[in-house]
Amino acid sequence: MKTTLSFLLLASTLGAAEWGEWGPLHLSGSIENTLWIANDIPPAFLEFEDGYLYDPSLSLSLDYQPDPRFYLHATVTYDQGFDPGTKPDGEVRLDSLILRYRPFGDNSLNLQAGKFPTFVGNWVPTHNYYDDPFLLAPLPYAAINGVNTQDPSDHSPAAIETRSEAPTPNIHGAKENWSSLIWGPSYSNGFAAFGSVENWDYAFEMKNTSLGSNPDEWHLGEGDFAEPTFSGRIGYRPDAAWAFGLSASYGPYLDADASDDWAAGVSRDDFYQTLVGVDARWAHHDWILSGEAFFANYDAFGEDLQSFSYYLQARYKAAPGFWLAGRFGQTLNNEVTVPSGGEEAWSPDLLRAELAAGWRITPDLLLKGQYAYTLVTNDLSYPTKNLFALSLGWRF
Amino acid sequence: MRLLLFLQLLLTVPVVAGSIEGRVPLPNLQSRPVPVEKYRGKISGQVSAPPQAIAAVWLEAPRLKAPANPPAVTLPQTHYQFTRSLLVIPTGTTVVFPNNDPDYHNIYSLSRTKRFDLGRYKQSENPAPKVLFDRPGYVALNCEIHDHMKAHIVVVDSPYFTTTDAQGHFSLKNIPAGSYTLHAQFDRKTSWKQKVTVSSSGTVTVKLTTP
Repeated sequence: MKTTLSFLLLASTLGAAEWGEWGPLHLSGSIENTLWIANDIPPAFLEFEDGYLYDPSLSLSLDYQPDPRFYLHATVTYDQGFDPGTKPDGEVRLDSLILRYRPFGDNSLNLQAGKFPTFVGNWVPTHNYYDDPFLLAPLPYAAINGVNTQDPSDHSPAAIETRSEAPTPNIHGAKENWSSLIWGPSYSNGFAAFGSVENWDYAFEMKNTSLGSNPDEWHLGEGDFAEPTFSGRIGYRPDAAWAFGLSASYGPYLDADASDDWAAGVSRDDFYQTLVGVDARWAHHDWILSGEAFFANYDAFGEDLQSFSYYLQARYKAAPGFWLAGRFGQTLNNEVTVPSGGEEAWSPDLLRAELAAGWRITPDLLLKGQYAYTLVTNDLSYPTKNLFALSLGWRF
Repeated sequence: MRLLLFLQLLLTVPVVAGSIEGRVPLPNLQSRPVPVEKYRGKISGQVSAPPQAIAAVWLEAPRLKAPANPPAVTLPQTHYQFTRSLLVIPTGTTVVFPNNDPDYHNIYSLSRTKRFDLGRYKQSENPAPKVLFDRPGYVALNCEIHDHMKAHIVVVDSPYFTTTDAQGHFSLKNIPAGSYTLHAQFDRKTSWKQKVTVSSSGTVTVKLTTP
């Protein structure tokens, strides 16, 4: 309660302050108040136990562009964790720090270093609170799977067999120990080169953690780039209405900090995540349709673990400032041979259907609501089916 | 017949009229840099500096009303900016919003005077989207995709209106003699109002003070 009151006091002070520009320096901020409601264990990366979580969040951003070739961006956030509820006592976190250099002064080539979101896929450029019609990330970006990033023996054939018999698979506890195909926008640190030439976009990034690593591995200075992850995307935009993309990523998925717990002989270099994906977007007048599909392969003890995940999303502007949105996604995984000789699922096959509505009360005040229904379609159980969320955001 | 000719002559002779000149003390606004990071994939070309900030100036009087069938006005979006920061138009004007950029724009207004949302429209869209402004008042324009893009429209029930230059200077000419209320508006919160009396000839100089 004391933390919440302090937060509200700070937010009201910042809201009353004059924000703006000093020459090439631009300061901005956002206050988002989100109420999450779910019974039992909440889906995705959310963590709360009492059936609900009130998650206020304050973000401050700085943009500095002294000339067309140099650009600096930083965002600092105070909330209860990048994934709501994971830091219940609150934390101040550097979400992004970007140093960018444009050698030609235009968008044909950008070189950047720092802590920044991945270039893979087409959801990340729209994940800003005021652009994304939903509060939850799409299924490939927001579903724990059965790959343990702390210990590869936890997804060995023997562990998979044990898990298949458990009433609640262990992947739903201690979510930070497990992976996701892509963990949200993946704000890990590294280097990138990207740009646009006519109708084509390209991006190549080298980061020190895989796409499925969790936010605890994204801190600036974390990792030494000894075994980096390489990712990239080629995009084609024939006109403003259409956009297509092809993405790929390759890198080790084990958390280097957990190496002390690994069995003798286990090396991070033996456990790679390989991901390929396609994305498409179409927009016209009141409609925006988009979709992505990813295939991931994880090196593992025994057979490789494979996962295919996709989603389709639509947003319709029903009236000025008011929209409705729907999304449907599925994740399907292969089965592996376990010690008893049978075939078992290594991760829950998921189906998620979502509805959302948004009301832009003023250009800077946005009310959003969302419902998500998640269903397991294979033999593994998934504890919670329903999630409700309501959020009010104000940017300044 | 002679009487008709006399009346026709009377109607075609210019009415003796005065002018109003003055200066609106515009707030000193710095050029706003565009925070490019949030626009990844939404801006293909160069972003120009925002247009100069100006104010709307118009006259009101009980006998005045907007002219019938005013011509359409165009407010293009070029280099990810509105080409003008402010329009002042008479009630009943249609404003056309052509997109001159390779990416989508989505202009909308949540102002009570006129709520509208043009949705996503592109460069080649023909005809370009347009909106009829049928009530007097203030309208704030934004782009849903590029939220640094801002412009204002002041809709007036008057045939006498203009905009200032970037220094705030304005001039209204050919104003029939009489008493008026002179209005000026910079943005939603910043406006001025002053009584003026225009004589049959000569120029009235108005000095507005900071509100």
